[in-house]
Amino acid sequence: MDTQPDLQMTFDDRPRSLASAVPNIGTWERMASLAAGMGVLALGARRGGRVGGAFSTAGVALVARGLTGYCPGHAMARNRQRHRDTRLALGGSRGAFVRESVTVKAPADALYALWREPANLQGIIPGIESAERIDGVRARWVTRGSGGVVTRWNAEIINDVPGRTIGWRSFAGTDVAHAGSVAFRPRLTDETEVTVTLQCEVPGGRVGLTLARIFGGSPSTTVRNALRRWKQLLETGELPTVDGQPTGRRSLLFRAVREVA
Amino acid sequence: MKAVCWRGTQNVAVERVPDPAILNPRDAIIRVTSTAICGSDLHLYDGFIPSMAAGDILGHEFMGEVVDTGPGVTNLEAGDRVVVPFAIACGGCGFCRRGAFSLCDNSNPNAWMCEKLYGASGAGLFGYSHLYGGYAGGQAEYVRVPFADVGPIKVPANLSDHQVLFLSDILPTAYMAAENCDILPGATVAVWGCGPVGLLAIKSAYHLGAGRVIAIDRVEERLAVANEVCLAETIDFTREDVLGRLREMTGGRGPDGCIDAVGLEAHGSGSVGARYDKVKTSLFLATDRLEVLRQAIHACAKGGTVSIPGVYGGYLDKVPIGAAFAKGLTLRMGQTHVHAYLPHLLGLIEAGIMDPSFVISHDVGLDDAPEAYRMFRDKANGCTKVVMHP
Repeated sequence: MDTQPDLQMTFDDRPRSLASAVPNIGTWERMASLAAGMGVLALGARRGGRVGGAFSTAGVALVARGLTGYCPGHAMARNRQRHRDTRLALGGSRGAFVRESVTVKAPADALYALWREPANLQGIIPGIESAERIDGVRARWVTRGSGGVVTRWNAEIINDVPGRTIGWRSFAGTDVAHAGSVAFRPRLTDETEVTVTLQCEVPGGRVGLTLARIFGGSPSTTVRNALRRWKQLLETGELPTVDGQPTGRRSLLFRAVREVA
Repeated sequence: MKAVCWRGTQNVAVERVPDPAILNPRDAIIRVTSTAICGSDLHLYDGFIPSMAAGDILGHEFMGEVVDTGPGVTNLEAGDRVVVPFAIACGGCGFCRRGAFSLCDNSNPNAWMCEKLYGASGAGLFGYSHLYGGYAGGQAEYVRVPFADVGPIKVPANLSDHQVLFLSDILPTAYMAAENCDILPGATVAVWGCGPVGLLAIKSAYHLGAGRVIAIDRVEERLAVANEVCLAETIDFTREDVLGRLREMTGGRGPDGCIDAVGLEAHGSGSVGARYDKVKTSLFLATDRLEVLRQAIHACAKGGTVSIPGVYGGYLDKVPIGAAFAKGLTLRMGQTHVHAYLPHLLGLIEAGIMDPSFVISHDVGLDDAPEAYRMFRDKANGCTKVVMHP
């Protein structure tokens, strides 16, 4: 019997299609909107004049709302809610789901303790500039990615089981809304399976995600490589590298220098 | 410094490159005194292994003298004479700790590439493509050795370079290939390929208790060495039907252990399968030629083991897995866990029980590398093994 706490975050991760992502009101509301719209249209037609015209416009809008199931007002309200409700921000076609694992030769308690302190994560998250603690559960993060792009986020811990799991979500003032968890499952005597689960907002929605996958920067690749670097640092004390080793690659400059020499 | 660089298919050149430097705390720099061309270097030479880049420094069989060490290396000091395993291992991950050094989790900086191709990554290797880390190799005057506190083994001054150089790769590779056959006293072992690994596998099989070893090749001089030096019975596959002869020599049972010391560039014997592979690899529809593997599986006795030290790289077509299943065969393969064998094999060399130097046919300078690669590939001038002295 697996006593592992549920890794899933509180967001909705049911599979969704692009088509179902567009309507943002329910079936009954759509039918009511349609009926009301037709009523208002009929009223407007009977009154005529300026008031009748206004009635007709409102009627058309309600009918359209009913037919497409899309309400601009709802959409605006949701956008405002983005930072308050992670579940909403990460729903629909905007969210990407990532789950990656790595096995590390270290006890779960030690790994949990390392992960619990934001400053310790500087080695794993690529391009991290600062990880500043606000209080016991909240921290402020800044990373500088390729091309000097600065990303800021604020995260708060919403689930904390010492030695086993840490769950967090982003809050106001965040560039990329996300929610995630890390779980530590002991294996053998001194090995631990570390699993990171992440639901994050993808700027540009599905298109952005597809582009990221093509150019190798998909969220899952990023998380996987980050976990590998963490393991390598912990197990060997260094990161394997070949940057700076000699090579016989012939650059134009190299060839020019050799001609002279 | 001077280094042997891969420039493209069948094109190596000796280049002037910068000297290597310590990049990580556990690095050491070795001044190379002897370095050999391996049969598996020929797979790079012939362009069978993907992800080589022009300018990559070749070589994974080398030894020399320690000239510098990083702050994390406390077991070596300048002046120590060492042999370096071809696989790079951290010594601390789960695989290293159980002796499976060539499966090290932490030594390949390009692990993601291997993961895409193979599902997981083994250890980084010296001078063996970017798939395996892109580490500069040891066919050079100097080489940087990562995790130098784990890999290099110190060798006593009374043993010559010729005697100990092959601890870096081919001796442990041949020994592990024989050990993988789980040889029972008096068992029969067949070895395909009488190159250096094949010849040392014959010696290792006898050392591990085989009663009889049968060697298969087509090069006359190599068959002669297998027979006269290593005491194997021989089959020339261009003159005899290998499967028929093996059946006949083993009372219809087949060899208990079959070692494929050839790998992905098998020449085959004009059989339908060999022609099929040739056509497919020529058209880039296949990566590997596997006539030897097919023969080994067909020939192997029921309940026997097919051991594969030869290198394979891609997807194999027409593998008689049905025969392997029907006969309950065991297939064992993989890069050699060199580190795990070093103390034992160095002991055998010191005791005079094992002397692998007999495989060497040519000693040359580093500048002769382009010609040496050609000669070794063509098996010209009786070439079985070239050792270069930078």
